Amino acid sequence: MELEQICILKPDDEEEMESPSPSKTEENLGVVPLSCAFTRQEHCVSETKEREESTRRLSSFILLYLIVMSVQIVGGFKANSLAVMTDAAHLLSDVAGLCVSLLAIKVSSWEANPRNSFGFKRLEVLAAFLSVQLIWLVSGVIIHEAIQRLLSRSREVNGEIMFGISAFGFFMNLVMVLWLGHNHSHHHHDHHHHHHNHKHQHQYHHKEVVAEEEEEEMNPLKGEKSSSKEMNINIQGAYLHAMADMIQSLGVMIGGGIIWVKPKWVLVDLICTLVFSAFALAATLPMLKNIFGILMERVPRDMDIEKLERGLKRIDGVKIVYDLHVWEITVGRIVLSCHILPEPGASPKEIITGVRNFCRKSYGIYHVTVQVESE
Amino acid sequence: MERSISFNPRGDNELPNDRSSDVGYAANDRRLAYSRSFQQSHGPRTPAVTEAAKPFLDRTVSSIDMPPEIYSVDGNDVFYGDGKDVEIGKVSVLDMVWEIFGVLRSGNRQMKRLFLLIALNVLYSTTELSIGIFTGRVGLVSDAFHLTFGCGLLTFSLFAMATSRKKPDHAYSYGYKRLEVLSAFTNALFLMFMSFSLAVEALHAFIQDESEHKHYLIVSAVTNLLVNLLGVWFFRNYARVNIAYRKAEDMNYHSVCLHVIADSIRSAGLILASWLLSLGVENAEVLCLGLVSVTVFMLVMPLFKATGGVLLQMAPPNIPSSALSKCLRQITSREDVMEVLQARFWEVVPGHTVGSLRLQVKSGIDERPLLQYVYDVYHDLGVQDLTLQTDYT
Repeated sequence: MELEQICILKPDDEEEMESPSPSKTEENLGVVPLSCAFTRQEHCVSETKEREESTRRLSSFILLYLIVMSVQIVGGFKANSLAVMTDAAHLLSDVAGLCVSLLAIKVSSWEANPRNSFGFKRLEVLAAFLSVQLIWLVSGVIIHEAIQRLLSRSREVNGEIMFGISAFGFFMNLVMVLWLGHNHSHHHHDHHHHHHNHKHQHQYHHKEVVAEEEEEEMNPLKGEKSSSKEMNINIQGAYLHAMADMIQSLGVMIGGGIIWVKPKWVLVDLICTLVFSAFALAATLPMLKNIFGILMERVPRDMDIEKLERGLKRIDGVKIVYDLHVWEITVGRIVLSCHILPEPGASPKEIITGVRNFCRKSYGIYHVTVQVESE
Repeated sequence: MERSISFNPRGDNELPNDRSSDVGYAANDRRLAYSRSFQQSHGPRTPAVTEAAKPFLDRTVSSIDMPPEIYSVDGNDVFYGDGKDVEIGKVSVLDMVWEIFGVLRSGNRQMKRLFLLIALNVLYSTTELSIGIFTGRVGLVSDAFHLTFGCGLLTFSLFAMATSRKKPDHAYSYGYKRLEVLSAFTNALFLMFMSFSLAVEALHAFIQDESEHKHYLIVSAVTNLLVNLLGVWFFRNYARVNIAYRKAEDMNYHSVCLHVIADSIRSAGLILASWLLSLGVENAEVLCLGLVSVTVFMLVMPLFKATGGVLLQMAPPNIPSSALSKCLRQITSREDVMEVLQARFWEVVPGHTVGSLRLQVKSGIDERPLLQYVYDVYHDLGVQDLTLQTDYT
């Protein structure tokens, strides 16, 4: 695509920029020369692999859930049991959450364009937010069902079926939690190997090109390591979803067991459901805090901005740092912008290089914009 | 020799660390300058952009004419000290209660109205819930649940309004105003969920074909309708589907207004359905619920897209992309500039656009006029914070 061509041209043809410059402006009528860091990162090999892996896992889960759901719908219809069909609806919400995560992973790999100059990674965070909201909604529905069970004292509430269905749901969620959690640690090791190989390859190809810009732009590949330290936020969201479901299924299972054994103790069932729903919702709070922080352009949680500012001041030639803003596009992808007042006589090029290296090495920030002012 | 040229757009006599000009709306004059500069003819840009400069909310309303001091950096941030960073989510109950009193004392009119609305809703839903549980009527309980969810969201909006007045601190370098956009998005999301659940309910009614008349629900629906109409009256300036958002609060108030409108449409739909059922119209419930669901969805979509766009850091919608590319062409066409890289523009809150830009320039030239030029070009577009990195070759 045109965008890619321009990006690849940049480091090699810097000297030739002068003459084609007037004619280039005609070419650029529709296309805006853009952030190479954001577009090129999408093509990082290991990141693509990670994405494919996540996509594969999520799609297999969705398929599994759909199969179980259709079995439940048919079975519930035949046995004329409302409870089974309700659980099918519950599974549908699970599938919706997984689909949202899957869609987010696919979309976030799109390239940046002039309207979305930061790329689409932020969409992951919004999708995770949607997942969490779904969890809250489902909890509300479960509590509502529990109250309905309480109110329909006159009618028979079949504790056996309730227990059976929720036990089944519990096991399915348990499988998912274990699989998602287990695969992540495996993946981490693979990721390291990929990075080492990739870095070697690139360093060999680009040995001739001395421009540090080039080296800098290649190194963002290394930066993806930080994003896999925590799970991709969508996998995190799916994991949380499964975890919350598991806790709630456990609660309903216990409630069903109680009703099965002692059909009169319906109030206990309600209390049990409430307690477990509270647990499940409390489990979503850390993720919500993280999501809100990212959406509010907050400084990343593990970063102390005063320390960063002090570190910047220690760079040769930097007198004052002001208008410092640090925020995340998504977990692990950090952006920084600042204005620097240099010491008299300092070279701005060196200051810029120093700042960029500092940010990259100490904090893993690859998208840095520095404005150097002077007296 | 490379010399760095300074360019301080805020004037050399100002202290560089003046945070208030980052986020506060002491930039009121800038906004006027923005709209004024578009009244002059700017060539091909004029038709697309003067439309954006026309005031959309033409009726003079007290809420819009609020003096700018209310919004920003002054002593209104009574409850939390200057250096204290309130972690959103780590607030204790005592803090919340204190905050509620703070809202009552120092909030602006819209906040007080919202508080009243929330109080009414809470009262109403607790009454409904208790009556429902004690008399065993499931319909009342579900309605109460729905109301409670709505109340929770309105409380979050109120919290956002209150918190967004705080100054930027070491954790939130752009300040807290973006919380209003976030709460507007949450509201919009909830309304989408509501529309979806109404569609599911319609489907349910279609399949199950319950002809059970729930007469007691009509009383609840009427009361609900009245409370929500009161809310619509409070926020009547925002009772439109498409609004040009010029400040952060616009989005929040708009979302609250849409919330109460959607609720009142839902209650009206229920009343209509019961009436039609009593007239003997078949499938009245399905029709009404389906209609309400579609209406709510269409009402919410513009707000959802707009807030989503701000949260995704998309290019500002009030700046046409042709204007942006024209600016880039203008800059690239200057002989000193070799290339423009990484031109990114986004909105922190509607009305406050931030940009960052990298220029590749030939070394040894005088940069001050170039920087001044770039700043002017973007200032005309309304970009208030610009970080410009010049790379020498």
